[in-house]
Amino acid sequence: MRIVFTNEMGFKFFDFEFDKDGGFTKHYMMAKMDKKAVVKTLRKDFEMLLLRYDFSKATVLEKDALQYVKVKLDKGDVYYITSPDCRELVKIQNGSKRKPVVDIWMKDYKAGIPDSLYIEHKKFTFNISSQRVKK
Amino acid sequence: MRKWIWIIACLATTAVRAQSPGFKPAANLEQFKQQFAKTAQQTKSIKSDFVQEKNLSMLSEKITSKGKFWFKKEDKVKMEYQTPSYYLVIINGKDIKTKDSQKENRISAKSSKVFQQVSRITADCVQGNVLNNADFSTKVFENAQFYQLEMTPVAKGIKDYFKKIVLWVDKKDYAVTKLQMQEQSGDDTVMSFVNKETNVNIPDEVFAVK
Repeated sequence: MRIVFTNEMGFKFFDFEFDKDGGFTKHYMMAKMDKKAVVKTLRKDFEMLLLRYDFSKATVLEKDALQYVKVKLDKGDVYYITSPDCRELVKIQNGSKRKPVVDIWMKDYKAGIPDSLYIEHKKFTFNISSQRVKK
Repeated sequence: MRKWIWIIACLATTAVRAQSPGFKPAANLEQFKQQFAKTAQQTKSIKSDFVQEKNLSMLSEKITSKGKFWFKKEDKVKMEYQTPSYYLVIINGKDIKTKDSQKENRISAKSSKVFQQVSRITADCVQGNVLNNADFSTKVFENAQFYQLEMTPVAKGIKDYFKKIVLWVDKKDYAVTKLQMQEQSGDDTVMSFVNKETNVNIPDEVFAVK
């Protein structure tokens, strides 16, 4: 799986590859952003988004008419927050319950696919917003 | 980082395109320079449609965007992307405004050296003023229909972003009809100008950033 980010003007920011064995390759990162911490943060964001975890030990909780699927990591937890019927993934949250580190929102579902995606980091200003492009 | 287009795709490969065939070094460089500079000087404004094609080495198909373009001397540029998604960028001197379907941003180019450089390159390219831009070393080629300007960045900041910028200048009217921005990674963006009108009246309000 390849993930490439460009802006509307064709300016490329990064190009990552996630292989099926859990491997990660950075094909490109623009010079100004090419820092270990930035790559690590983005890698983690997309690993959460691509559901690259072992869900066999996940626990399921319910709160406020939403379903929380909790995956324990070495540092903190990842919560996949879905509608009660589990058809729509509303939000992915990383951190502890009291101190979320990253929120990933999926919004405006159309035919089961979200139209917009927002990645919001709580500890520093580094947010990503993307929209589905129609052909 | 505000509005981004998100592209996920399985690995695909395409051949990296080589330099345009059929071009040879320009025979009469001085004549070209003089005529090109004269046209640039006479160009007060440009209104045009544009087609932008993004070539990513990992994707077999191009990403095509279309929109409208305005330029007014000395330093006003407006680009409105209409498909596949709305995006507006206005460069008015040292001020930049961007807007997508959800958010509006105002940036002072003073605070961003890269934006300053990019806005200068854009204005210089469309106006045909690139031969005076010290940030690039430029070679000029030609075929029967076009002059081709191959601009290699020498300034440090721009070098990080572009390997080369190539301009196609129509021999008929010395107007820039196409530009290609080649990235260090091998990907590129080609922008073609169609339905171009020069020296039409464009009110300053078109470039309002406040």
